[in-house]
Amino acid sequence: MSCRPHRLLPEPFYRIVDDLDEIDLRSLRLISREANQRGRRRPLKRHLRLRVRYGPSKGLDTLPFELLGMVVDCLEDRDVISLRRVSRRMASATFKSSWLILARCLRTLRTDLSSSSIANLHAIVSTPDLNCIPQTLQIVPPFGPLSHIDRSVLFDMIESPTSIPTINILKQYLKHSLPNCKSFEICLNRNNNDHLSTDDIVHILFHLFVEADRRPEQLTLYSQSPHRHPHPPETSPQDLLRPHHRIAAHPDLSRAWTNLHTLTISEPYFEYLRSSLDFILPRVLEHAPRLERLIIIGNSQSGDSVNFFEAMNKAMPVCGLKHIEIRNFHFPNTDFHDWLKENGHSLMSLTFSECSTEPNQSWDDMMEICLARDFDYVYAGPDIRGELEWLKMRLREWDPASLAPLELD
Amino acid sequence: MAAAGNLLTFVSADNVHIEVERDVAERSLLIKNMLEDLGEATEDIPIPNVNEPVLRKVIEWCRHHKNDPPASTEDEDSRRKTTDIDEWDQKFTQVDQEMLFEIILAANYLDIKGLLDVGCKTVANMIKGKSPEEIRKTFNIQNDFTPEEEDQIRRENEWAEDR
Repeated sequence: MSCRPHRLLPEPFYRIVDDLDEIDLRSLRLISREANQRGRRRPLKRHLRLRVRYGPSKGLDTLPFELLGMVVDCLEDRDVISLRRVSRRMASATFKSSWLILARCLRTLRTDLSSSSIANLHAIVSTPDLNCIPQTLQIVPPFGPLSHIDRSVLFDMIESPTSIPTINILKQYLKHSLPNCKSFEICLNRNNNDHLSTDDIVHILFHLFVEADRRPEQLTLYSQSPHRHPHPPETSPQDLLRPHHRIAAHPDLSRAWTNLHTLTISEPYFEYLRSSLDFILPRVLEHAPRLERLIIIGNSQSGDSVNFFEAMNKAMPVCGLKHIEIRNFHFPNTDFHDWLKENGHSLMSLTFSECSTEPNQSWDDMMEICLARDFDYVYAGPDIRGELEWLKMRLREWDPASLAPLELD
Repeated sequence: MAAAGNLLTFVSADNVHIEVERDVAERSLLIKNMLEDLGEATEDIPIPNVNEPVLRKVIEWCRHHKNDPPASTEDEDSRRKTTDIDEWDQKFTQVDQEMLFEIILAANYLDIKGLLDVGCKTVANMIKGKSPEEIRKTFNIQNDFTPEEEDQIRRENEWAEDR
C-alpha cells in the first residue's frame, strides 16, 4: 500500500515544529529541510518542554501494588468500590480497602422478601469469606410481591409460609449460612395493597425462626410515624375477606426466643404495629428466658403511647428484666408504673431519655408514685441514685419549671 | 564531573548531568541519607531509574518545596484523608499520564513523601466519581474479568453502593 505524501501549509507546519521537544526536533530535522530551517531559528531551550500526550497511558495498571495502595488510600468508599470492578489487578489492589467497606456495609443485610432481594443475598451467602460478616437482617417494606402466585393462593400458602419458594430459600440461608446473623429488625409499616401485609410478615418470620432453628439474640420491631405515610392503602375485596389479625404462632414458637436478650420497640404508633404488638409482645416476653433489656423508643409528639402500654400490660415477662430504657416517650398515665411494679423485680437500671408527662403531672409526682409503691426492690441497682440524679439533670434541660427537689432516701 | 561547594550533580538514566543545590536535593530522603553516610559528595550521583525530563520535574518540585517543614506521621494520616492539592502542585501535575506516573515512581524511588503524596492524590482525583468503565477508558485498562467474576463482584458491590 503506498502512502500519498501530504504537504502542510507553512503556518501549521511551523506550529508543530515549534511544539516539538529537542529530541523529536532533531529527528525531524534529519528528514525535512523545512523543519531543519525552522529548527535552526528556534532558540535552544535548556529545559525541555514536557510532551503532552492526551491519550491514556497504561501507567495506573503498571504501578506497583504498594503505590496503587497509596492511591486507593486517597479514595472514598464509592470510588474504591468502582475501582474494584475495573480489572482483576485493581480488584486485588483494592482488596483490603473494599473488604473493610464490605465488612462495614454487610454487617446489616436488608431484604424486602422479594425474589430479587433474596437473589441479592445469594452473593453474600454463597461466598464463604462474606457470609460470616452479617450480624443483622433488616426486613423492610414493601414486602414482596413474592412471586407471580395468585393472591388467594398466596394467602393459603402463608398458612405454611416456608412452602413459598422465596421464603424457603431464605429459610435455607438462615439454616445453613449467615452464622453470625443473630439480630433481626422488622419494619412493620403501612404497605401497598399488592404486597404482603405486616401481619403476614410477622407470621412468616415467626415460622422462619422456628423452622430454620434460628434463635435471635436481638429483635427490633419498628414502624414509622403516621405523618410520614398520610394516605392509607386501599383495601382489595380479597383482603376484606381475610380476618383482621392473621398472625398465627408456630406451635414451637417459644423455642425461637430462648437466646433473646434484647427487645427493642420503636415508634409503636402506626396502627399495624400497634395492633400486631397485642399479639407479638406476650409471645415474646412470656417465652424469652434470657431477655434482660427492653428498649422502647417513642415519639413524644404523638399522643398514642397509651395504646402501647395497653399492649405492654397484657405481657408478663417470664424473665427478670434487668434494664429498661425508654426514649422520647410521652407517659399519659400511670399504667407503666403498675406494670413495672409487677414485673420489675430484677431491674438494675431504668433510663428515661427525653420523655414527657401530662402537663398536670410533674416528674416528681411520677417518681413519687414509683417510690410510694414500695419500689425499693425495683431500684436495687448500685447506681440508682446516680441514675435518678442523671434523670433530673435531663429533665431540667427539658422542662425546668416543673421540677422541684427530689428527695431520695 | 563532580559539582563543587553547595552544588551536586545528578546523572539521569539517560546519562544527562544535572546540577542541583544540596538543600533542594535533600528533599529526597534517599539522597539525604546517602550524603549523611558519605559526608561530602565528591562524585556525580547516578539516578539510574529516572530519566532526564522526569528528574528535572522532580527537581522543580523539590526546589519549590525546599523550605517546607518535614511532614510528621500524624500529618501524613490526615493528608491522606483529603485529596486537596495546593494550587502550585495542581499546575505542576498538569502533565500527561505517562509523566505523572513516572513522577510517582521517581518520588517513591527517591523517597520524597510530599511529591509522592501529590502524585497519588492527583491519580485519586482522576478516579473520583467515575464508573468502572470510565476508569478503564481513562487509564486504558483491559477488563479481564470473566462474566461470572464480574457478576459476583457487581452483586457484592451492590451492598456497598446501596448505602
